Amino acid sequence: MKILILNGSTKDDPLAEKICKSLSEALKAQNYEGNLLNLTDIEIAPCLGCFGCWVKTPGLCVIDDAGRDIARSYMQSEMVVFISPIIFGGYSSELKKFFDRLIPVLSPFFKKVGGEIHHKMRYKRYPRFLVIGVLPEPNPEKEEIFNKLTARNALNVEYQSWASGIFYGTHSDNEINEEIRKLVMKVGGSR
Amino acid sequence: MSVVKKTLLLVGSPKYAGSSSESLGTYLLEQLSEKGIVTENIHINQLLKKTNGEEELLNAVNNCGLLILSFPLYVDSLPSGTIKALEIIAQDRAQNRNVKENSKQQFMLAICQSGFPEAHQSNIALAICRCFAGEAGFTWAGGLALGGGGALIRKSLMPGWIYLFMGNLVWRMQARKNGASSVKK
Repeated sequence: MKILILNGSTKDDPLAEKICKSLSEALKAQNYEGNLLNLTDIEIAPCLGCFGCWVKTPGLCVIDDAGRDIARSYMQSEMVVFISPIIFGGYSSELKKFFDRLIPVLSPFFKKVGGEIHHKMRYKRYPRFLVIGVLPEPNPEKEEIFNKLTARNALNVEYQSWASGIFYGTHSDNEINEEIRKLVMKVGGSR
Repeated sequence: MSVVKKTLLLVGSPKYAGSSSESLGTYLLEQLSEKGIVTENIHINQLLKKTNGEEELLNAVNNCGLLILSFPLYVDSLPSGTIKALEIIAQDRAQNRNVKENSKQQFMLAICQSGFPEAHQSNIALAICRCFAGEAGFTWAGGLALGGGGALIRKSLMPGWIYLFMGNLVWRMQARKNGASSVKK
């Protein structure tokens, strides 16, 4: 299974580093092939909000940079993992910049999902989706927002499966490893 | 609420001109101007491209009595450039605690507009703004969620099935205009 890991943490985040390491090991144990991208190392422009990817070059962002490659890799992967510090309950601007550039993989046309209007899918198959949020310590307000945000994100795309988890700086290495293993099993299934 | 001397509008749309976020925000500024309140309008993405953009942003934020953030809903949240600005502001206020503690009470409100007819799709984005306000030392004055997109078609005026039909028709017309014939329903 081909896995794309987008790490939206800053370079000096030891907890995110631990999580990436633990995730790589958990994926390896399942014979999954993980491709970890540290987003701070990749320069891309933010989404322009021009809708060009819907009405000019359908499926392709009008900005010709690494954002296009990541959108392609996202669609070609069987599982995509987002790692982000939880900022005001949401994603870091770094992770969000890449997330916004994934809009081309959806169709502009509308459909109803659970009584709400959402966009139709452009493709027949989408990856599995795992989101990992990182906090220095428990914070009920931020965690509630983050959990609701990831659930709404999962409504937008017909992911094959999805899950999200929150990790604290107070977690031990063993707790991190065990929780990561459970999340990988939940989204990827055992094989 | 105490008398607000200066109101700062931060426009969070990635579009430089003619965005719904700007239209909504400036409409509110005009109403406040008529009440004698001094107003300032900043387009976040344009300002942060300037050499001293961050400094200008922080000065404007620290000197306002009311901060209005107007932005479009992007993937259930704020556009990345708007989040970046909030990160810069919160970090500055955490490092310079005297700004936060010695300043007079500052208020913040947020306006989020989306292309979906259901205004509640913006609730998470507004909760993120509220969380930022608390962290950066602003008194949260509330959030306004507007659905219906650029035309601001009110849900009550347009049943869901008409929105679906019209929305899909508009996308097809725009694509055809651009010669993007491969767009399929």
